[in-house]
Amino acid sequence: MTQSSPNSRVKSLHHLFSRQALARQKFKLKETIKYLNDPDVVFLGGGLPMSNYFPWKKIIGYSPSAPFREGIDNQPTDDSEATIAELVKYQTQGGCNTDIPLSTSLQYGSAQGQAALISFLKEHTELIHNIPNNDWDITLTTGNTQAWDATLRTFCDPGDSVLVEEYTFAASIEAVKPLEVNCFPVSIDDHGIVPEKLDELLNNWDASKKKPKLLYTIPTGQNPTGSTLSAERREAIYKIACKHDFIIVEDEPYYFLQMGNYQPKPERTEYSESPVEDRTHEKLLQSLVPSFIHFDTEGRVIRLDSLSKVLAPGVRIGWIVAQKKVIEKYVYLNEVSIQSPSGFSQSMVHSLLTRWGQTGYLEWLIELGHQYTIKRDFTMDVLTEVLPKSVASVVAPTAGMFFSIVLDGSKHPDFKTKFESDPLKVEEALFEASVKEGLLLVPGSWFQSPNFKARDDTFFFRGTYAAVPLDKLKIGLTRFGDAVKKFYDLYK
Amino acid sequence: MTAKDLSHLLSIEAKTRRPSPLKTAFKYYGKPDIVFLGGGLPMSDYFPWDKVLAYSPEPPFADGIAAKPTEGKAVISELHKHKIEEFDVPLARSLQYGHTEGQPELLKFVKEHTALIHKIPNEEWDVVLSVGNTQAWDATLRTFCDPGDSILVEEYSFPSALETASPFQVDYVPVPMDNGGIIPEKLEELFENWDASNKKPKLLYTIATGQNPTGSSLSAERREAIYKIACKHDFLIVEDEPYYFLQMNDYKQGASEDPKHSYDEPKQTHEEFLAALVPSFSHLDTEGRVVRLDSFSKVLAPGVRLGWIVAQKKLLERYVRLHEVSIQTPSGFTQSLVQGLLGRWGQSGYVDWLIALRKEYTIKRDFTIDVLHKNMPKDVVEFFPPSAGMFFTVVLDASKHPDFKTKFASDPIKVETAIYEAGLEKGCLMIPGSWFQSPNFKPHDNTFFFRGTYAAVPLDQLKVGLERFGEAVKTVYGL
Repeated sequence: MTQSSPNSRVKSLHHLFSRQALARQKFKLKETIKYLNDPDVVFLGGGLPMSNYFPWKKIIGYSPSAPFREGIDNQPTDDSEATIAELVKYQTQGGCNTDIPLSTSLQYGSAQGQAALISFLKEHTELIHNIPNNDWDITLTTGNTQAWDATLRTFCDPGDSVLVEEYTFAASIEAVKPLEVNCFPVSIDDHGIVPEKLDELLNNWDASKKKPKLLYTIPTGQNPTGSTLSAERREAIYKIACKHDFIIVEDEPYYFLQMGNYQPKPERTEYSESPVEDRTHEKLLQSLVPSFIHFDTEGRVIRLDSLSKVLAPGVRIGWIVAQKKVIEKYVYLNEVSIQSPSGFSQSMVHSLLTRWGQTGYLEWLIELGHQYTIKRDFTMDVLTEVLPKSVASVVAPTAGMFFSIVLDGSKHPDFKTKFESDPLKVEEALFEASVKEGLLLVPGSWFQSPNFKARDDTFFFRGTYAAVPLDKLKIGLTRFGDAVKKFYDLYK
Repeated sequence: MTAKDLSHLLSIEAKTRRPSPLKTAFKYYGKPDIVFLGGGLPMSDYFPWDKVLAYSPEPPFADGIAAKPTEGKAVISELHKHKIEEFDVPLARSLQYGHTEGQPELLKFVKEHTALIHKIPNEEWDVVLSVGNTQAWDATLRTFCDPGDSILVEEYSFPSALETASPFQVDYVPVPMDNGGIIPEKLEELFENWDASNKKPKLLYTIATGQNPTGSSLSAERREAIYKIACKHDFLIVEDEPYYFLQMNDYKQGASEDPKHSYDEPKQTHEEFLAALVPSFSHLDTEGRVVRLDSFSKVLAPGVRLGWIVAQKKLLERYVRLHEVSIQTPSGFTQSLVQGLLGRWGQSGYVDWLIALRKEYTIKRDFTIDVLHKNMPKDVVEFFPPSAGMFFTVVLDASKHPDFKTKFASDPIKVETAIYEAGLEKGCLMIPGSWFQSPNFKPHDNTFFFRGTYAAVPLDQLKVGLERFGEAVKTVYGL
């Protein structure tokens, strides 16, 4: 990734805040906090219960140890090989003095998150993204679903518009609609958003209507299509955002599920045969596609990072990276909604990540990428064998957990008759046929943005290799291949 | 008893919510004959926690709940990816996506507890987990309030809750209180003069037990009267109840210093403990118009970030739709650890904990009121022993100040400010009651008050603080 000078000053985004966000401010009660640790003042101001009542004396977590050479799914059978985090209630009880003691993490605290965890995540963010401005900060979230909801509340009033990929994560659309915010689709191809189409859309925007506040994108391992935006496209899109003055919200739960290009056998070198010296941190950092925030000189990127696909979904911890004045608004919103993530989660995650260190965490991420590479390669090997190329195609994803199988509705013998030239009717019939065959992939039409316009007779199914073991994956994909062949009458 | 259909009270936002279409695919999940490649669920083999051990105090907490962590025997929760105890939530499930309402084992415990305590008189109630009452109140506003709607609030209330409501552009209607909380007759009076061109209020927001800031608790009789008014005028009652289990034994002056007084006598059975609790609004809820916000924050710990919402099923379903696109569900660590603990304590051990909690707060409350008796000048100050919660108030009469009409221009808030500053100068911070006024508040006399808490500091410090505050009052009033 290119080094940029971190000297640029961010632009004010004050004019893009929602009415709700503009109304949010610090509480009067919080002004008294300055007296909390004043030795001359007996503080009878706050309703904080005493930590001696918290019914947890000690919590111990057992985790795998860096560098995870046996794979990240290999838990140590011997405790002596495990990374053990012993969390005590009070610092004075011993334990590791860089941990967040339970008396702190289980108490009311900053809505931004525990300082020690913020510190680790900021270091990590700086290391990976090299943000080209000095005005950024982070706040913790309870995951990207909540972060996206908070983003809508912070920037959108009823009647505002947002831009989304023409196929996108359905739950994200469901979050938008009840807020009376309009979604407009941006054209995508096998490699994500097409920058020229985005520019065209905005150049031709109805001048009587307010321009969109933000672009919502899942740029790496896109859900549902599996595409990943290249560095060049990201730079181009960033320039368009500056030109038309909108915010880029990059929803990036799959950022560390990057896999590199797919190579079919026998050209492919299996990971287990690749030299250990090649699995370095430098190689990882070089191989990662740059994020939008890596280009963010103006401070108009809001990055939603999450531990859900990297550690576990139920941890319910993520973080938002944005310019300080924007983070401030998110923190005020946290104060009147989630407060902050679970203290257990914060302590467990912090104690694990600090024991691994930034180095060990990179090693985890390397092995995580490796696991997904194996699955992606296996999936593509099988699909190459079982999918009838005359009617179906798949582009190998370079990140994430999804792949999309694109089919041509017009190639079905009954397209014009039984299916009335409607590819979605073909999609529905094939969905049912494949479920009968014993395989479920999700129909692409379930991911359409509102105001979607079809451009051709294709449709697709989204699959994932994340959730099942490889043998089942092979069975499932083979069934799908059979279902397609039967359905399109290709056995004749 | 069948609950009433209250879907007409839902906000536009709530009415618009649809389940994600992907959720409909989930009915195929787990069917053995279908390979499900539908959900982006990472495999639990990759979750980097193999096991978690937790050490907690053991019922019946003979050393008290404030015992040092190294003392006493421990209840050990051993949590693995797979289940050990039947009531445990295995980490492979709690750290995975799913179960928006909450993990079934924890929901079961919380429902049983709720049924035991509140005996809700309708068949349609259910429970959904929240990440605490702040989030639950925010979710409630989103579910019921459109811009321009009115909400009834206690004339003094929790500023954070009032602040949460303000971006929703609601109209606040304050309800007059006395030292027993909301005055039902005054609530009814608000409706007698209601401007018919304005929509009637959607809901009443009340911190019914151990009210923040006044420390008052609504009696059973008042709750019944208020419930009837809610039925008559068709609004919801949102009872925000983080202090419900901080209900204390009756105050006896001097008990805190009487060596013969024992806080462990007379020993109460669980039945006696439960019978002594003030009934909740949920306990009266034949029509299904109560939304109860329960929280573990003051009972276990705030950082647990776990609570639960009790309401009729049809209304709760709208909360679930909201949670699917916002919080998802509480932290899996929280759910496994809390359920691990509650499962091992059982309902009985949990009641033991609540009894021990009550003892702690009773001791603190008794001490506080005894200190107030010694230090507050009773000719200008009034105070009432709270029966629940962590807050107490010291009420002053501004008109008794010799310079009230002159220096203070007959404004009680000016006297309040003088005392706040004098308090800080002497080295004690109590919060001015005016900071808790609802928007549209109307004063009805020349009194003002300060809110203090006995929750957060050791008793010796509390004494020093209240002595200083007493001095501050005497100084300002020239006594």
